[in-house]
Amino acid sequence: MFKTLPIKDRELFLKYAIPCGEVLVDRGELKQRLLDKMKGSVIDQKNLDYDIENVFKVATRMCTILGANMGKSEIDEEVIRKYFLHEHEKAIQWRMQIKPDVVPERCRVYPGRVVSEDNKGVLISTPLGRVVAKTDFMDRLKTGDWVSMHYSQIAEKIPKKEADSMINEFKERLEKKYIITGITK
Amino acid sequence: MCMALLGRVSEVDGDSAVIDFGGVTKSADARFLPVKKDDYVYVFDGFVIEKLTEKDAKKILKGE
Repeated sequence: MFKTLPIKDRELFLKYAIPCGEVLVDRGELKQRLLDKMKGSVIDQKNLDYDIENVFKVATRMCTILGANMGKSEIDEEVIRKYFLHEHEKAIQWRMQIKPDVVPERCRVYPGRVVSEDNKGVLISTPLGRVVAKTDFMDRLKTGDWVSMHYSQIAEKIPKKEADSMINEFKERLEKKYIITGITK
Repeated sequence: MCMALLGRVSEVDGDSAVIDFGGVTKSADARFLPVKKDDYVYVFDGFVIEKLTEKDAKKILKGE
């Protein structure tokens, strides 16, 4: 039995994990209704007492491993960000090198900068090209803000230093010719 | 299980295991979930994260 660490910051975890939920729905592993309910709870900042550990098994377990290696007793915001912003892509590459049978675009987490925002949407410049972002989890953004994206969903605002670090990692992967097919342009 | 890969344990050496992913073998860290030879497991980023029954594993592999 895999013993997972408790998730301390459930809202932040769900902001990053929910885009994976669409893949789980496609595979019949999660009901669309439950995913929508979880998403609504994050947006409305309601009770997040869902069985996250079972719905997002992979992310919870990978955060547990990472957290344990960091000496943590719970999955806090530091663990969540380290996993989704830095370790997650490495894990995708691991998968793609063994069995490149999936389009991992929904799984990618990448940084971006707000180019423009108006009532039609928010345009984000990312290392993968420009993306019209979903902003359900965000309050108002302004031009120049740095954000983290999972698929085309903005998870949160991030400091420029964090974005730079992610961009450098992305460049390193390009230099190593890692698999980057399936990226949303 | 999102991007995790289903494989079968072919060797175990302490906390480390060799997993056969349908012909491609890779070593995996089994510290967080001890395994034995012939177990069916989900692995992600080199870590064993879930064990499956043979029946469930074969059902999933058949569907791939």
